[in-house]
Amino acid sequence: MGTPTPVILSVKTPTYSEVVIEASDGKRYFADLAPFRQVYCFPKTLEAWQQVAVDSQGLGLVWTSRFEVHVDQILGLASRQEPAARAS
Amino acid sequence: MHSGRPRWLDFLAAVALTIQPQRVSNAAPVNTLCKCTNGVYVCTANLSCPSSAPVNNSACTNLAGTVCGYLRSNNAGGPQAPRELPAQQALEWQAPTAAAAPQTRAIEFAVAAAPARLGAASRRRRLWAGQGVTGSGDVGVLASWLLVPRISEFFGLVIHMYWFDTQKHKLPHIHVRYQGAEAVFALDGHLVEGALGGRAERLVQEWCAQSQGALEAAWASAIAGREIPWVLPLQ
Repeated sequence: MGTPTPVILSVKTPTYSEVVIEASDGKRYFADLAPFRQVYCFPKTLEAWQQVAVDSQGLGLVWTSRFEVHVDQILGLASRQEPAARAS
Repeated sequence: MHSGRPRWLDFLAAVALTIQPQRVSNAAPVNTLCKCTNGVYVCTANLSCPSSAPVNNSACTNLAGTVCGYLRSNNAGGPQAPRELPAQQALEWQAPTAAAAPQTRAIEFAVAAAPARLGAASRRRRLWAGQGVTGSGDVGVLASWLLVPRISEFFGLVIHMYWFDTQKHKLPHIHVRYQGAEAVFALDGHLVEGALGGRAERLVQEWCAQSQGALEAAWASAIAGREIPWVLPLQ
């Protein structure tokens, strides 16, 4: 049935369209969500991009523009991962 | 002591005001009958919504009475978030209830800033997303609520469909959350990943069978990056 989906513990938005999440599997994932730019409510500016929160169950990210992604999508687009304990 | 007008007449007038607070005056300009408010076309008579949003305000004068779930496709960055609504237009939302309106997508809400003359019952309105409304008040929050990838909700099951969600699971699918657990189902109700328990899974399968066409339409929107429409809950 596949590996269990980790839960998002925290999120950072270093640059526009990029997110860094810390997950319950003890890893930090770096992902560029630019492929979602075609979504009509994708945040349009860096300021809007930074208005993000982890959803109530930790299974996704929610922006104030109402754009959302699931943690699986972030993991799928992750270009890099590292142990969360390591300083960023 | 009494003025010329009987007291029962005042009472009837008060009742009439309470029952029909949403009716606009006949003297209102035509272009106020249906206008885009916080991203939603709000009209004032009880007719059906067309399949797509009116081009402009004058084009929706024939929609009087409905609040259509269209979202303004403006050039200013899309629909507005609830936090941008004026405080007096804030709405208190409750989850849709299956028993509330079996034939419609009912969302119970209370207009927090309704006129004081309206009682609590009058302030509470049932709002149909996309197929008319019987209440007044602003529906910007409704629009925002419709925007999220949460496409349906019933019996504690919350159904999500995400944009461009084709990487992990190639087939069209939905994410279902129930009591803290999440599972992925194909649009035909086949369980792809996770587990929710027997009864919940049967409900999802029943709902998928009932909503096949709507789910396929929602998936088409999701993989095109468009607004994902709400799907009727299990009936």
